[in-house]
Amino acid sequence: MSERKRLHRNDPSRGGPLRNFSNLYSQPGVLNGGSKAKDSATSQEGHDKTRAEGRPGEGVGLAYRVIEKYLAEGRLAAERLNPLSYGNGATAAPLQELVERMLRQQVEMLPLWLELFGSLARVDPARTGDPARANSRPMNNGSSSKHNISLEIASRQPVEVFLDLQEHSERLALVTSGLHALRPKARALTEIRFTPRKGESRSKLSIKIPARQPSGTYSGVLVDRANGDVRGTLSIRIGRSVSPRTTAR
Amino acid sequence: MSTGSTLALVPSVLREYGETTRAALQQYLPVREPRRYLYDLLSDYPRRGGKMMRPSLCIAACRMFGARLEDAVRTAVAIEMLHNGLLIHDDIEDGSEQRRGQPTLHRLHGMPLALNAGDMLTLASLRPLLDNRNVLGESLALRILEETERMARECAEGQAMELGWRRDNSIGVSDADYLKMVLKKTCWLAAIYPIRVGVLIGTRGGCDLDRFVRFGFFLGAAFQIQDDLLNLVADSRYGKELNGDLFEGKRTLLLIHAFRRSTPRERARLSSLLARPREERTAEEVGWLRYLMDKYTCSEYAQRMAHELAGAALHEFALLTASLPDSRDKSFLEQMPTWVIERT
Repeated sequence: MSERKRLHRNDPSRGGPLRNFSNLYSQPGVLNGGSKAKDSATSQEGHDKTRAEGRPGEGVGLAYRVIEKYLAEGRLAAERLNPLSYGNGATAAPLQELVERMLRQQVEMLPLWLELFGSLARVDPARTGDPARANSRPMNNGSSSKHNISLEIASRQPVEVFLDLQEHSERLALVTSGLHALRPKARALTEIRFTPRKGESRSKLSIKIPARQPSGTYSGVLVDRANGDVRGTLSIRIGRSVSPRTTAR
Repeated sequence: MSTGSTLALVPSVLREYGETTRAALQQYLPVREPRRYLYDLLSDYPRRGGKMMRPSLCIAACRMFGARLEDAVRTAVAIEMLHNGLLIHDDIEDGSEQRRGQPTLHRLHGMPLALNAGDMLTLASLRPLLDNRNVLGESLALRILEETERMARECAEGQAMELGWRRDNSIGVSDADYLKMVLKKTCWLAAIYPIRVGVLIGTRGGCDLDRFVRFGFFLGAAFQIQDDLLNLVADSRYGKELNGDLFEGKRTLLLIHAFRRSTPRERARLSSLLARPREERTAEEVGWLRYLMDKYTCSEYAQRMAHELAGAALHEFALLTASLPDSRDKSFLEQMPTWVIERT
């Protein structure tokens, strides 16, 4: 057996139950650098989560509780004022929000281009029932002779195609990272291939719409594979009862 | 946490953005009659200097996202004007005697004229916000105005909480109550609002602004607690009267802690002291209050809290800006939490 004298803790001199965990094994105030434990033992508040005494870091814990409660109250108030749901977009990451804003702007801009460049080129509309392939006629608008692009679409659903391409782009190797819808859950359209014009042959834009692609508008940019420069935008509207068409500048 | 020489960046940026803001602010302070009774009073507090922390936060938050300084400078001017207008009102409400090393405006000119000047300065801050339309467009300018309205509401609510506690001699104020009051009274105008509108301009409205509330709260609360601590230190640089908060009976974290630690007898005396109006509090009584705070190591307690909040601010900032490229403005904002607790 050890000869050392056993340590003995004095009985606590308290007037009530200790509900604060930080004070269970020490005199109140000791953890706060206070040597005034005797006086502070009679402290009126030793119980709740509204104070930051105790271990280092509890101040942060308290501050987080305050700010989270504050933010939660704000959210609740906002929900009461505007109970509408924006779907998953409401909780989307900032990058996703930026992408959505960009797409919205593009979609809003397209009708303007329509007005500016007027005439439309109709694409073979016979597209019901089985998957069908249809070669588009060359675009027949003010700049069609410059672009001279044929359109090839494979889709079960009616589609409307808007192509906004800078001049002299038809000979470039254009690619797109996909056309995206505003609804984040709708998968992007990725089966889009652009074959540049060679010699006297036309450029060709091939688009394949998956069988169960949700209806909506999908937009994206066409970039030059060589240097990444944006050369135009492509937007496809799926599922509307309108005639397929294209436009270009 | 940044320390030492890296903190030289903060004073440097504050000086640079502060001078830019002051120069632009001059255009919005008319020099016309009645000068003696109004316009001279308007330019008094802005002329006295100040840290220019609020406008600098706005400009830096904007530039951190790659926007131009010119895009944010009108909003920065509005923030500084609003801040100075509210200071005039605060000094009246608190019965303060000194502001930035000189007598407060109401002591110099009387309460009615000071009150009127405060009203004018507050409302005049709308002009640069309206001028934002020419630079940022109608939509963004309107969103900044909406943010301003939100900040003004939060600020008034926080001020009302504190004034109400003093009027009713509330003695059961907890640390959580204090932090909520500071969130509204101080943090919104000192940090949350400048950062939010800066980000709003910098991203052209393309960012969730609520993500910046936490950072602004931790930064602003650390700033306020350090301010409370500095009030107990005699230093001409601080520019406010020594122990002014004690004379005014402000519910600071230090006072709340002292009250909590006190014995019943001390608490009764403290309560009686705080119940009396400022004019009836003697220097001897305030000296006893200081003794009580020293006895219960209130400064150490508040200091620790300020340090913890600064650490939390650093953490939140790192989360917010991890994907942003390094820049002088990003470094400035990153170093602000350390600066606010180390300033003297």
